[in-house]
Amino acid sequence: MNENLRRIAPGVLFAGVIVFVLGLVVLVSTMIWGTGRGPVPTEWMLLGGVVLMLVAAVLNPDPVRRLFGVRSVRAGSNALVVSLAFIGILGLVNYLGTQKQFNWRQDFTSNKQFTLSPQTLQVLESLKKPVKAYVFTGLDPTTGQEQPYNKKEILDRLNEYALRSPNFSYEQADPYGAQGAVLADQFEMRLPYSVIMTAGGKHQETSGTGESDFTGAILKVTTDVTRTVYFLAGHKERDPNDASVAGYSSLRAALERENYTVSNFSFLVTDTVPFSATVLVMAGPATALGDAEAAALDAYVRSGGRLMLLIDPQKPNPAPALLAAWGVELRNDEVLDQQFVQGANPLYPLVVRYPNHAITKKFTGLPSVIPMVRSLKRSETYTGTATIESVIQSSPQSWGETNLDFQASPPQFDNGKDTMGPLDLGLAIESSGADLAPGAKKSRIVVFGTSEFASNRMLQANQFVNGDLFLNAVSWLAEEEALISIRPSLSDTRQITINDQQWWLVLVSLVCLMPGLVALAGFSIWWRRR
Amino acid sequence: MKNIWAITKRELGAYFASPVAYAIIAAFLVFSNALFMLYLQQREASLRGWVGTTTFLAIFFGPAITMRLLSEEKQLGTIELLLTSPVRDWEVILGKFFAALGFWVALLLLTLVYVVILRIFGNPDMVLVAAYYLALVLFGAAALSIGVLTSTLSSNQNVAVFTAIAIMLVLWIASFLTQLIPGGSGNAIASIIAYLSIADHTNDMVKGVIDSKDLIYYLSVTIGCLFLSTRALEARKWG
Repeated sequence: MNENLRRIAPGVLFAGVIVFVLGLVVLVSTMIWGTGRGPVPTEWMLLGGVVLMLVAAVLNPDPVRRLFGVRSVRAGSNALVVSLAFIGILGLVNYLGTQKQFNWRQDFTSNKQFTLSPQTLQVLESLKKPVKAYVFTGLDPTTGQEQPYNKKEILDRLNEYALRSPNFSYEQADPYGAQGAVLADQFEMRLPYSVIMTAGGKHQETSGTGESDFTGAILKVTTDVTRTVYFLAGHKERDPNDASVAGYSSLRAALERENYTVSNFSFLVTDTVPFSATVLVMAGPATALGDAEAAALDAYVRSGGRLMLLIDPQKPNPAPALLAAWGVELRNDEVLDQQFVQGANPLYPLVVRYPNHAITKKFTGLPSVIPMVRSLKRSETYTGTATIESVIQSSPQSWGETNLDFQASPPQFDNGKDTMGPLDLGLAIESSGADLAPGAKKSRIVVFGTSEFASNRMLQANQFVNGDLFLNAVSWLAEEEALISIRPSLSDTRQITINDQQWWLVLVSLVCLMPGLVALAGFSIWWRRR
Repeated sequence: MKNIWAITKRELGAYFASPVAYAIIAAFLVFSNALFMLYLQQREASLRGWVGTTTFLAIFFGPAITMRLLSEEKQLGTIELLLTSPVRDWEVILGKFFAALGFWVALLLLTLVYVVILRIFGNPDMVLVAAYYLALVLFGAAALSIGVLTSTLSSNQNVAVFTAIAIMLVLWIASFLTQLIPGGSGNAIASIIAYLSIADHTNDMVKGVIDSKDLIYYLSVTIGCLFLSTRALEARKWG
């Protein structure tokens, strides 16, 4: 090689290294800060640097030859190449492991606390358009603390959603950053740190950070219809605004999480059921309906209306004509069951019998408590074409006690008077549709023999599926089959019972005795070896 | 396999013949038992809090367990004997790693006394307990493999142990470092750094959720460090 060319080789090498390093700096700054690309594309700078270094090697190949002639360098380069290849393979395996199609997750908690509920999975599977969640999180300028406090939990939960649907994604945004502030304004965010669900131009701020809140918000941004559940008032019914133990405020909150609008309705205000009613609920009326009211209700149901009746024992049948017309009879009894909830009495049957109906088909093995309930039956004289199906039944050890004065005589099964279990505690009725006008909706009715099972008192115990039973019945009436599944479960916190004496015994044994014994063993070994 | 087993047995024997090992066990038990009692105050029949903190203890105890494995051999010059004996380099590394892992598992076995205590005074979820111990074994294996690597690279035990702790701490705080990067989690570099965070990969396991990506991560760190340790051991022959 020409001596002159040899002389310029170090300069070319230097230029190559500078260009390559500059390329790397630009590449990293682009990736981190997203700064704009310079006049020369990064990849050209990197390539240019490598080419210049190669040119330098060609101009003066002797040093390269000498370097690779050294045994240690040769072996070292081989080892470097093999090591880089091995690390590359590990990197690839890890990359693939993060991809949805190769991911495997197993929740080992007893109540599948970190597994999305079947309802959420159903909603995610049926997502037709992309849904994106924005998690507003950042350092609070006043406290310097990262907010919200449960950020990790929120991200973990949303990650579960993203793993389950290719149409779901999420992103963090800092409400104090420039971009985050713009997004917060755009989404009309009310709270300082929130999760906003967006889809197709619609957005919804979640009411909380639980699974039901996220799923509810997804439903809200992906459905275009407003669904209203009306609760009939005027006959001493249960009130969805009543927060007492006998009230239905918990149920109202649960319905609103499912994106139903909940309203009261009275025949005193209007003599027909509102046109906007998706479902009408009559929860535990203490008096019967007047003739005009019964006629209005009958007309509503016949025109494809959706009605839920919850009729307590020892109360009059509020709409005898309507129930008879749809083939349902109320027995004048109260169900007692030997299989009752712990700490209660036989008037609190623990129910695990769910016939195969859409409302309860996923409840297999899950208990509900249906307290103070009367039994129902299909009318033997019914000649109509409606389908009447049992939703929930008491156990074979139960019976319908007809002697309702429990103070006067203790309840016991009287053959001939009482009815032996299993007894129907809830029935679902659907019109056949054979005589419907084109485009008309089928009528649906759900009747339960009690209104107590959905009260605030009963919904406090989250180990029972009482709330799900009511919500599923509403979903079935509203033909929202996607919602019919178990609602998100709560954490399973197991407590220990330990008194002070036991506590001190454990403390001394663990913190003093156990390490002390090990230290003594070590000391004896040291002594022997000494 | 015979060679690996022979080295593992020899190293395990050496561990339990040394008073230093008992000092490590005693120190671990003091910290671990105190942490367990701290979380027991919450009256929960769960090891969740303890597991989360014990992974942090592993950052310090892992390198302490591995520091002497190869550094001591180099310091005493016995490494030359080992390398000229009819065993392969990877057999040496694996044998020593399994011995350290055996020691770590022995430490964890001592903590099973917590499970007994929880069973006496409550009803812990045993499946969850098993998942917790799997997490601790995997985390421990990763920490020990980093310790084996630094022990291979240095003939000074102190340098080996502090380098391993430094690497573990950097990996531990990796996800916090991402906060320094504008753009947060949406940034590609931030995502890679966050993925490298060894602490983040314990989160699911501590909750009782086993995710394949966490298993892959821990196994990758372990296998990767053992592979590099083998390469580093081989490098002694070049010069």
